[in-house]
Amino acid sequence: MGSGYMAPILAELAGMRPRAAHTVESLCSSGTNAIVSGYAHVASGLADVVLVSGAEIRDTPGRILWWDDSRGQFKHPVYWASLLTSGYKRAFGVSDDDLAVVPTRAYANAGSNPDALRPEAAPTVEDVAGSRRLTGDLRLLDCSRPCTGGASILITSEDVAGRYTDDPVLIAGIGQSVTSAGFAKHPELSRIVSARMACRDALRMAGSRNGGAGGATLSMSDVDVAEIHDAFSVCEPMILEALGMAEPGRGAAVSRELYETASRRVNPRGGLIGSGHPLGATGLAQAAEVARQLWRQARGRQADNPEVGLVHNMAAAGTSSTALVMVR
Amino acid sequence: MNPVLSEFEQAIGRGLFRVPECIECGAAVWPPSEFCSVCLGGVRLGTRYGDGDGKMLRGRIVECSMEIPAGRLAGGSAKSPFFCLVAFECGIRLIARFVAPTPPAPGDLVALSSCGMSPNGSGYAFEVSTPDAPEDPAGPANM
Ligand SMILES: [Zn+2]
Repeated sequence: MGSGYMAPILAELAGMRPRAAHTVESLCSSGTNAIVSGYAHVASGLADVVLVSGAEIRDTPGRILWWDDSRGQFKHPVYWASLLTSGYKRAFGVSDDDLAVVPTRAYANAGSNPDALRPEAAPTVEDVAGSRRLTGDLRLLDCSRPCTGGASILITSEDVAGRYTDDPVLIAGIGQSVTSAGFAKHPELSRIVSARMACRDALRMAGSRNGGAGGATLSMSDVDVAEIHDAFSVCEPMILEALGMAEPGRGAAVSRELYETASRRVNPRGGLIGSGHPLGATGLAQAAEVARQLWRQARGRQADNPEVGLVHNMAAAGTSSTALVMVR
Repeated sequence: MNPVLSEFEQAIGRGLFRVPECIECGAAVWPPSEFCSVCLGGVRLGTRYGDGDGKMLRGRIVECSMEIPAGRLAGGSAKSPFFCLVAFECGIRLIARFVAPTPPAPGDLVALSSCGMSPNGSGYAFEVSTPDAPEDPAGPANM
């Protein structure tokens, strides 16, 4: 939020006296990385109960990675998004029209999310295609919007969860991956490698925890609902491909199928594009949505009987990703 | 500010690009830093480009796009709307404005034609253009 010492400030403002309060910063994936920190505190025995909160103000300066001088003067996120979009379209022969279904679906889903920052009427594919051009590869409606927002989740040990709920959701798997900090060192402009690595590791951890011995893993076919980091239109197909939910180059076609079948399996709340992207709060909002989905409390946007949920949250053009597997 | 960075910025402020190189292993260190990211060796500024002695920092376009209108967010006089990720032969990759009569395409050979501090205060600014010299017969490199 542009202020240091946020966690103690928040604790004081909320009238809490926690034993410890610290801040986690990791650009757009601060939220899930804070969840990982909370999980680690509980798993190590350092804490029994951790409140993880993310908050952001609309004009936060934190959305630009000033350190990355390899971006020259092109530091605003629309530039990396344009180069990824260009790279993806060229690698797979995908068109801007193919990608227009992503925001169309996002806003359609956001229509049943009362917490979303969304327009009165969901834009159509034609509205997306006709929205203002920011670059040769990006239209205004392809972009998630920075906004003011907040989200919190409570993490407890299994021993004390009963104090707060009869129906806890378990964080069964965590995966993290960093390929670089600078955009110019992105391994490939048509794939988000960190997403694949982080989700694979989270599914593997959840699988072994699930009673499977020696390398047992869950697969995406076990995942009933997923929140993925669609910061820009092209991110959704790239992440669907990284997760193995689509063959390389087929992600936009899978987005279209999800749209045409009104599926709520991916980004039921509208994703970042449909809901708004309050950076530090986004990963927490994603995890909160998966918990609601697992509890079957996502009114009007409920996925079909989900048992296993996945969160994918990333930062700085997908140079790093964090993934969570959550089960009820 | 560390001495390497300070020297690098003094040079770039005068339009000179000096490749930060590891004293131990020779790797190009980019963005400039006090230590090599390969071996943690010390860094010095190596070859100078842009002082008219004929040396060209050459590379190839990895990917490109154009901003509409030119200069809307990236600032500056915006001579051209095109920007591209370039992989230079020295191992450095960066995003530069592309200034040439014809639009860029991935794989095109380019050379660093100017560098300086960004007029919008966002750090360095680079321009590449199509080099006058004949193409390297070895063909595409460092993609
Ligand atoms: Zn070295």
